[in-house]
Amino acid sequence: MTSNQIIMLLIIVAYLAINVVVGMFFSKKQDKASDLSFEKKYFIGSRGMNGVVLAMTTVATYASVSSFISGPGAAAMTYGFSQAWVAGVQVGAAFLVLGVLGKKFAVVSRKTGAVTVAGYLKARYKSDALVIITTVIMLVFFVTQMIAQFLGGATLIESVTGLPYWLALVIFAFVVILYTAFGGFTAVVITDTFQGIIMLVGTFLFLFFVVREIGDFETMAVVLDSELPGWDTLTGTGYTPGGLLSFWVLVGIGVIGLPQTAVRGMGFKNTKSLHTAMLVGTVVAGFLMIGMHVGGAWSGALITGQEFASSDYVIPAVIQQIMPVGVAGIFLAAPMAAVMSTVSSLLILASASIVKDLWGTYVVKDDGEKKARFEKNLSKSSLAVTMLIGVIVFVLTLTPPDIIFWVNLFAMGGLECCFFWPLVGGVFYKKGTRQAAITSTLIGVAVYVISYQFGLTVWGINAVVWGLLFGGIAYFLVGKMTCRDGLDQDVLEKCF
Amino acid sequence: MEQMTNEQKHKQILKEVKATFILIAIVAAWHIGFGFLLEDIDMLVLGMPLWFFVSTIGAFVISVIGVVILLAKVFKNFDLGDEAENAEAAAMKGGELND
Repeated sequence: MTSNQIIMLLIIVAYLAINVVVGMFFSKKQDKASDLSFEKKYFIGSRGMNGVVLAMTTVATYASVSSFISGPGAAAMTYGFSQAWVAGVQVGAAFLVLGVLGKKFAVVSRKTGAVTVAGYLKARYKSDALVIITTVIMLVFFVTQMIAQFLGGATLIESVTGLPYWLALVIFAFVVILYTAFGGFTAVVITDTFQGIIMLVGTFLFLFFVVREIGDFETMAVVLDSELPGWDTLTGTGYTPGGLLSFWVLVGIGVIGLPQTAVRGMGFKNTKSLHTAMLVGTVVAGFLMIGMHVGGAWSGALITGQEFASSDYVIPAVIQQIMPVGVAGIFLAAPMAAVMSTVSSLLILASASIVKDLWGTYVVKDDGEKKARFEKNLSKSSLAVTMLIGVIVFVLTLTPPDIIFWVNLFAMGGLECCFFWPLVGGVFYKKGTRQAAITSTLIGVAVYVISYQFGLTVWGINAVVWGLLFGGIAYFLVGKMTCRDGLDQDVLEKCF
Repeated sequence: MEQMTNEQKHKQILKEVKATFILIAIVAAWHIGFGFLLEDIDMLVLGMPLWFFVSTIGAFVISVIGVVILLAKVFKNFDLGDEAENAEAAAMKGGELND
């Protein structure tokens, strides 16, 4: 290992250690001050988030390694500014999710005691089948997404420190699983806030050093014209209009259907925090996404003559080129932060779903004796399940898949096709029955996976568009057909 | 903070949801519209192609301004209804004291 690599490793280890300490310390402190039940603390942080924390955790959970490494790398090497345009689609993510689902979730979850999205769905649709189906689908796509993230984090550490992939993966996975399992939701959102700040610093550093290295934009333009012709066009590097519009569906609007961001609607303190979060979240998300991708597009002029196994390797190479090693280490904390915040949020929600929604509702049921045992062992089981899922993902990531950006997007699309209509329709549509929700989920996911597998793209339109389209048709049609006497009085009272 | 009945709260929520969708539609239309409309103009603004600057940086600015307007004009503060969980917390605390 070179001395530079050792310095990077030390900075990374220090950063990971800080996260563990911050996560565990503050979560213990906050949980001690709360009088609510274990599950309300562990799975939803006693619904105590203020505006800044809510903003940061929403953005940080959503921003992943694609935002820092994969996407900007693709901008540098393959797609130029059209990739940055795609990134810009995400500017509305924060205000959209919070504005559409936030208050509804907050009110309903307080009435029903729900701590997961499935908990909300149960109250809204009163269907065990729906809960099981959506939870299982969610777990499958969560695991896929976590693998993509772990892959990103480990590859990153490997490329800058020279550590073998599997060892980098061990260190990384160990830390995230540790603070998530022991600190629960509170540790997750507090570390998310810290990680969000790191991401802002990282983006700023990246832009600063890229601009400094580039010198003047006219020269850059000349270099890019020969390195990546079409870098300054929207459709000149491979994206079709249909494909670009699909991104607005996938990462622009469909994002409402992501359970890991939606669940944050159950965890904030009051309406004031929500409002603050909508504004802060939009500013932060916009700066991060657009900033990193513009910097990425520009950095295409700095990699002349270099060969990369995939565009995922571009940004780590660029930053080592243009930043002094200490600064590079600090910048790298940003994509690692993005990975950790995403994984921790997925992990805690996956755990909550298995323990609360699946095991608690269907195995324990209302059996008095079973219930007593369940409550007694809740903290131990939750911890164990969180660790177990983490370890399973770790094992699966040991033999890594292809480029992270696309695996991550595949998982996102799947989750959206599963949850979008039950959630959004659930808020709006008074004829949205349980049959509507179930049919929508099954058809949406089926159409999505099939279009994806068989590459059924017409005019370059992404599979998610078809999944959401047919899922939506199913929801409204079936709802209309099956809602004869209106929804259950109980549901109308609690959810509308 | 306004005092609202349950029904009023849900009515208000629906109002906010619709307004949020309207904002995202505006942002999307701007982002897509100017991206395609200005694509063929060969000009750099601060190192970014003109179409990108107007469409994407523009969309960012509109989003922020839009949220400010939504919060000022449409969104309202109201109680989220912590009574049930506060009662649960009090009961739990009471239980501990009785041990």
